[in-house]
Amino acid sequence: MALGTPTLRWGGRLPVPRRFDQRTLIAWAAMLTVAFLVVIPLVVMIAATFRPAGVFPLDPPSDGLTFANYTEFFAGQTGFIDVFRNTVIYAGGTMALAVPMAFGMAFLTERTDVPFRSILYTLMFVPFVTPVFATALGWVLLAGPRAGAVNEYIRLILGSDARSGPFNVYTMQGMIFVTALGIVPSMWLLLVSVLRNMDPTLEEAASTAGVNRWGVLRRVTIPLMLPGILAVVIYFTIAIMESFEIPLALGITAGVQVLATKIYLIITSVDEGRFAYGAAAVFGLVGAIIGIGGITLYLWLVRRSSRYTVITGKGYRPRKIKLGHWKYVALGLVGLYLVIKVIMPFSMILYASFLRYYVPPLPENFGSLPWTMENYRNLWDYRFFGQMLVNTAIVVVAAATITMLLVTVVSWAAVRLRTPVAQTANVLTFMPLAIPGVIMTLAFLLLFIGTPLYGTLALIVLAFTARYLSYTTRLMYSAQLQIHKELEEASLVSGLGNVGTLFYINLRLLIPAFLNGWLWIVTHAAKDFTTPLLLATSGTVLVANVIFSRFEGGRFTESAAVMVVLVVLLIGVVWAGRRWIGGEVRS
Amino acid sequence: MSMLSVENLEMEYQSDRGPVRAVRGVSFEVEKGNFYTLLGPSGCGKTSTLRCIAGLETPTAGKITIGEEVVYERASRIVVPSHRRAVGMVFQSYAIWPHLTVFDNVGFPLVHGKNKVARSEVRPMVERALDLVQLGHLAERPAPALSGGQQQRVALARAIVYEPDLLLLDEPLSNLDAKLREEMRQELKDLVARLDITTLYVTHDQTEALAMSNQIAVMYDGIIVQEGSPEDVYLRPTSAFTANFVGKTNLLNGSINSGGDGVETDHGVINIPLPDWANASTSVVLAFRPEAVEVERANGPVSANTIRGAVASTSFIGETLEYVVKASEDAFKVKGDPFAAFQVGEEVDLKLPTDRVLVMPGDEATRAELAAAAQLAAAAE
Repeated sequence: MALGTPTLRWGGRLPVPRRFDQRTLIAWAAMLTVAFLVVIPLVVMIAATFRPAGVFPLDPPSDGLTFANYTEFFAGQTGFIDVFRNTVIYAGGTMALAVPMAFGMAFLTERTDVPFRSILYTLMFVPFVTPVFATALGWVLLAGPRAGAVNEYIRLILGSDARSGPFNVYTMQGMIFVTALGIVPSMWLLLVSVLRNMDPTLEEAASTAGVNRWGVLRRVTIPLMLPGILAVVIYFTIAIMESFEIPLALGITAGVQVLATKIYLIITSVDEGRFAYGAAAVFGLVGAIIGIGGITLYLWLVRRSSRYTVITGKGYRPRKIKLGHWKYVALGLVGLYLVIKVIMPFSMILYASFLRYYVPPLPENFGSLPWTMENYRNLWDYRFFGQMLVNTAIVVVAAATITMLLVTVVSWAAVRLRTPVAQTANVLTFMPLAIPGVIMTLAFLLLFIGTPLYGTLALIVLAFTARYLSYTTRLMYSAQLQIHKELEEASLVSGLGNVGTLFYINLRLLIPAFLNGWLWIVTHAAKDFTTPLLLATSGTVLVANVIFSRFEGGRFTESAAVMVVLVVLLIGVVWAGRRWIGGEVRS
Repeated sequence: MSMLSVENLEMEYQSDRGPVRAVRGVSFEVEKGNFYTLLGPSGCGKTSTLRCIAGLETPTAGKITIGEEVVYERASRIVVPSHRRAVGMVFQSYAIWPHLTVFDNVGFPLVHGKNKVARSEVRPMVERALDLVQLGHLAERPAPALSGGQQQRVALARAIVYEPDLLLLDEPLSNLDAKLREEMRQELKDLVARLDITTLYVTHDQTEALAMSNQIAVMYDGIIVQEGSPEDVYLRPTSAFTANFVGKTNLLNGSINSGGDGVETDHGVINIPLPDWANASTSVVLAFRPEAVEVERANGPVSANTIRGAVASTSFIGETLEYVVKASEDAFKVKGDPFAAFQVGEEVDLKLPTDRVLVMPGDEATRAELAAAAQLAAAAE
């Protein structure tokens, strides 16, 4: 041979029975890990429904088995009728308010010539970094019945003598209003893609057939998009079932308990000195069944609506409706939403964070506002502050990294190996989508309570991993589909093993998707209140726990200062992450 | 010495409609330094065979030996994983890793693979490989900034940089445009000859197979239907499939005459040597290449082994003239001297040299095979 040294021969034989080849082992490892994360906790939760109060789910059966949790539940002793009525009203009311808002905005930004579109698109992503709880606190400061700034100003302008009102955020209506504001951006994002996936020639065909613009909208556009819109509605109805922060911040004062808060209240309240995990588990089980039913319906609808999707591949740009002078009205409406959702509550939080105690920003108080930097200074002095930040950072970074590594392997196995084991792993990752986060977390609590893992950061990391598997697996699965099989085979033939190929080729090519998913988990986990409030103990305090404990104790200004720090950090992380991903994509 | 030996290889894969037997008992040997081609239409099992040899698929039965090493044997449960086999492979898509430069793509096997070499060795070896494919000047270029032909060369350099025992090429030229394909064909042939590397080549393109190989195995429906030199395969096909898939062929129906020494056809008796199985009055199909026929102006009475007909159409393609000649119900494709053209309507005699005609049984199975081959050949065009 003309090149190189002739010393590169690999000799000998290696008998490898097919059953134990490396790829099969990887698939099994992925499947068992996912099963451990999503199936075992739910099984334990079901087991917990049969255990009497004061007994851990995994205690020996001799400690008692009972149907009492079910009989009490169906006899209404645990108040399930109220809880489910509230949950239905809450979810229904939120959808009734949010869907028209989100659809209207999606239509304006996608299908009309509303000005400053690119700025609007950027601004619509701002709510994604703001914790839901912050919006809730902001609106407490704006529409609290007595000292809410909006109420104070209305009473001032009307010259009213009343001590409270006219608005009260501590009501079902208040919860619905704040929740609807919160879900509009995600809903808008999905509806934009529904609008984009529609073939505009279908509308143009109706126009040329002589149907006027309103007729086209009513007879073609909306019917074609209906399955897509319905799917979005069902998806978010499930999402509202797991909405925890707003019912917690507003509903408990209002006396309105929904499924998520009910579970939390049962777990955290100790009834006659005995914890009642069984009663909570029954609520969790019922919620899980509803969720699985809903997600099944959702997947069915998505399949149906994808039949309507005509991908022409010709890069058709749908015709934009010319709004004329109305376009400024449209811009105003979108702007109004952003003011209500972001600017008003956040200026209140920023304002409050610099006060010693909360005073409404009224003209009569302007001379005597108790300005202070103490809330921030206290944070530095507060001996747990550093620990809380470090804990939060450890938890979100570990959860994001572990989850992304796991879903990379799962989607690789599902796309490449296509064995029953690999497919099972992939299907199992759908489970957390159906099961509200509070119930997933409850299941983890029930599995690990009484074990050494309880009260550690590792348990919180595991719970986050299980909750965020679904979305990130979908993300990595579609990214993996884009990678040509031969890119991996070329590496195998070049002499790398399966693990080396996964690391040097697969993971390397998937880095943009990996970072996207990683960032998604970091921002979601850092903003999440459900898992920290259910699983954190005195030794594992996270930022969410501190914000909530200050809020609960009525120390709004301190709570606000922690929130400002959190939002600033999140904006920094997202900004740096986006730049990094941008750089990766370019290279 | 044989560098690759495949014995009774079988492979099955699961499709939506149940198991598919892609390879159904394939055996062949490739001598050291030879260029061996598996030629066949898509779905004939040629790529599956190649992928089994590379270790990218697991066969269901048989034995594969590369050099001295048994890399697969069903009976003794030996499956050497792909990355431990002494093979280099060029993929149909080239599979150039887009996150690496040209240099890093080629150096990858030396840095990360089983053939690790000392750090100081990597650069000279990669440079030598790149020089061999004439890409030395593009080493630092990122891979996505390459043209199709350049990517193909990078893929080749990557496959030979660690001097594998065996080079596997999976339709490497099929994604190039016609002109480049011809250029690369020659270059590839020269390169493997210069390196004296044993090569297994998979293609559906008969021109590539004929021009490049020492040996060709024509595959159809999971088995090898004919193996031989390019000349054997083209000039002396031994099966209906080869006759009709590789190159164009004229078919003529007939039956063995009562004397058992000729074939009775619509155009008179054709006297040719007959195979052993041919008894009197057996129905047969005669096959002959357009190039096998001598075309002459019709003159006097029709002589032996000659078909008289009239030119129905001509097409001038430069180096040759193609005629379709009609004789009663049959139409024959033949080639003629472009400098001495016949006109449409002119009467011509087609003389059949007896050693250029293949005699096949005229049964249903043969006809089905002929029809399939013609259809697959048209699809492969």
